[in-house]
Amino acid sequence: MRNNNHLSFPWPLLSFWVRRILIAWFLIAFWIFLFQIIVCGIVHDNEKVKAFLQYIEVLPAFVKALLGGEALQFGNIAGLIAIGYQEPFILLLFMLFAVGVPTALLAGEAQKGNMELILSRQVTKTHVYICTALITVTGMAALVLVMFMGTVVATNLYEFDQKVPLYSFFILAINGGFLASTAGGIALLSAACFQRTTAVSLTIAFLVINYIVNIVATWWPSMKWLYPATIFCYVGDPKIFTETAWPLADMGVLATLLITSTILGGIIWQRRDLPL
Amino acid sequence: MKAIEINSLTKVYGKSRGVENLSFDITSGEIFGYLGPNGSGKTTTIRCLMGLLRPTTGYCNILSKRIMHGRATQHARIGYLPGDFRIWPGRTARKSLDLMARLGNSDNVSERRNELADRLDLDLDRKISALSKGNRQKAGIIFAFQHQPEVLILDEPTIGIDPLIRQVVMELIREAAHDGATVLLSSHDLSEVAAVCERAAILREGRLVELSSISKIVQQGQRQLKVWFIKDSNIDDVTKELPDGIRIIQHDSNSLHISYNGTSDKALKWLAKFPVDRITTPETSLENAFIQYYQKEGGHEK
Repeated sequence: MRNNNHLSFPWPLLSFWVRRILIAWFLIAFWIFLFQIIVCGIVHDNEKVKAFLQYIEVLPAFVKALLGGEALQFGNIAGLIAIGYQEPFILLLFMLFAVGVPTALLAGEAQKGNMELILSRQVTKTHVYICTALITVTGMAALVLVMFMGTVVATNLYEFDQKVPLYSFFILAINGGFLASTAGGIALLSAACFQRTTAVSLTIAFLVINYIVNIVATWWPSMKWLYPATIFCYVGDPKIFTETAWPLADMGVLATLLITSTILGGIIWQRRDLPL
Repeated sequence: MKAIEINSLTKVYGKSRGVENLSFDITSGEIFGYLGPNGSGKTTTIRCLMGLLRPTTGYCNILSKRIMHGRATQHARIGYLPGDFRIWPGRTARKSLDLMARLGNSDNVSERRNELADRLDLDLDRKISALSKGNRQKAGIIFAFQHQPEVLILDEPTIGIDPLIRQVVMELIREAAHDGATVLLSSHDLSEVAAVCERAAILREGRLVELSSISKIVQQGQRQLKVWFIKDSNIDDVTKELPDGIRIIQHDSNSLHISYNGTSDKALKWLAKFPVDRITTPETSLENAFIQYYQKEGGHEK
């Protein structure tokens, strides 16, 4: 009977959960990194780029929208490299992490019965929530850095006849990180409210609807008014490349969504009975 | 000193009832039995005590501290075994138990853990997924006992465990109480509750219907007599003249097993009409008392 009743942050839980998701994180990071190299490898060659541009020009508008919409400037290298930041496959990888981690750690552990054991030790529900949020946001930020590093490495591997504005790509990556973290916040909110399957389904539904609305609004001029309603509206402002400006307003909107959903999720998680 | 206090505790799940207006205390060092059939509210009470459920009204105190929902109140001093012990299947029992100990600020428990594993005959280095149900339960028992808690809250601790190890678990509970720990033991196995507990509470449909010493609960049950009649005597009429309040448990050609409430006077006067060879008084068990209590309270034999 020599137990320390002092309530401290559960670092062992945080480190255990980090180790649990590390393999998944590395796999996602590897593909994101590799994809940037592949994109740069394709677009650095002038002849191939010209052929690619001609091909893109004849594609329907919605396909251009799928490739990145307004942010893309097919006439220059930077616009083409930016495809690697906005292509659906990359978004899917980011969303996989953003949705998978909070739902696996909050709703998943609760559903498997482990949460009852965790919460029977010196761990509060707030601790558990903070651990999940920290892993989601930090993991997402690290993925964004990996994506940017992919571009940096690729620009050193290949020669480009135009200067590649790396700083603009850094801004774009951070902006993208805010978008992905916002998706993580929505997933966190869902995981705090529902069982794992429901939480994953709802978050994916939210993202898919946003993505479809984004494409429709980009492609169909009369639906352009819908554009600000999607979270994808707040990423890839062309000014990032034309003026090397930080899209502070866009990042502000995403940060507000992230903070609101995270706080709301935290309140609901705190008030809910366990096990689910 | 009261180690556990439950005061007017009510928990309602939407429209359905969990527990209703429960109040009882458990003294330090006491082993307290918590009985009731499935769905009677035992696990709900335990989860309220652990701060996993938010009471609708009322409150619980453990070691003089009010339990706050989700705040891990006094958890470093509590050993908890849930009714359905599940833990990461891909990890070894040792690693999972070590993580759980560190989450409770109990770092130096490996010696105690090994000792418990030896006594319970559990290989801690096997993955949880490779363990049988009984062995997983043993891991759960180590989880509850490894940090030598001051309060043990055990929900069905011997479920799925063989009789030999069950005895070890009972010994562990007695030893913990001997060292000053308070034990709340929820169990369906009434013989083990009778063997280790001083007092018990009985729950029915979320309400406390009995709270007293085990001996008193047993006494409140129906008494029994087993009667053997003289060989070749005619006892065909014995069941036809059965007085009110006496129930036949078993009957064959020359013996009779009956139960009754109150004094033995009426039963003996009735039996005196027949050629009795000998009479024994089988001991009423807690199980009999419990079953009879439910039959009585449930309205079947009112």
